[in-house]
Amino acid sequence: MKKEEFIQRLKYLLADLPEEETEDAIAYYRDYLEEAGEKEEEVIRGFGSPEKLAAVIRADLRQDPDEGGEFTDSGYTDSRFRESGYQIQPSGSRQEPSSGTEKKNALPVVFFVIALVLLAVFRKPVRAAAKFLIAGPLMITAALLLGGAVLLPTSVIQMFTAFPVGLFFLGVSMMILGLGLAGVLGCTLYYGRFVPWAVGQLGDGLRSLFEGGKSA
Amino acid sequence: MVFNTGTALLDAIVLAAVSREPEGTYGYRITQDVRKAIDISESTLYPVLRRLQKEDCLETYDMAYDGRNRRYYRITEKGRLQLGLYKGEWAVYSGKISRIFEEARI
Repeated sequence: MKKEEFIQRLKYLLADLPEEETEDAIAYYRDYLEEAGEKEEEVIRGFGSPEKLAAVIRADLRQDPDEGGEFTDSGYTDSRFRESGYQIQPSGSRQEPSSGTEKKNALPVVFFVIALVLLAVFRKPVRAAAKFLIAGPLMITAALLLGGAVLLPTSVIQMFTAFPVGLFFLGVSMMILGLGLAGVLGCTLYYGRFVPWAVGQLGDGLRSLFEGGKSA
Repeated sequence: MVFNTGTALLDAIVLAAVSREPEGTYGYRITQDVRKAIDISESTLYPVLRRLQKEDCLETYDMAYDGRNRRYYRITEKGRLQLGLYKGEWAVYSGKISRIFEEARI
């Protein structure tokens, strides 16, 4: 495959990435091939197919580097590509994943077991805590708004009979309403941002646990 | 070779190779330099360089060479700090491993 053909193919394969990423990668490889000069064909063979090269570029963009492959001295091995034959350097013996990954996966399993035991022992309090986490902020906000809304007209009526007392409660009701409004804001943040985030974290944790268990 | 090179070690080797050129160096040459130490394929380094660049450990600039633009990589202050850290870690790590090998009986 000639240089231009290779570059065009790579550009096409990376077309859906952010423009900046595509341009950067293309500029790099164009530069690289210019530099290679006479060795151009050899270098292109070294790259493997444009598809493989694109897969490497993509994988590294998407992934946390720690989750990626490993640069062994016989090339780059990546469990994500192993089955599909995306070895960047097909030579030499393949290495089994090091025991380091197993060690890393043991920790969440331990936490999971501890969590299960705690859950079993403290079932009632855990359930209460879960209920509070789900409904708590909403309930508190609702109570504040409702309390303020009831107290406000009451205090206005009170002002006709005992003005200072009514004025005092008018102030109190305003404060409660203010807290309630702050609660509304807090709730939107809590249910809109924090809860989805927490659920995502929990899901990721569980998934890594199971995937970890499989590979270990 | 039978030993693996992890991401951190590869980062460290690349930073070290780039740091030797105060004016900066370019992808092809970095690859050749790194290949003197470890056996990597032609395609290995781009993601590493890109990541180090995003982490502000490397900076790039383009300069005309031979009628075209050549992209140079240069180590940043942050990259130097990181490299120093890696060097220190490596000295401790490799020292311990070497000691245990020296004391081994074969």
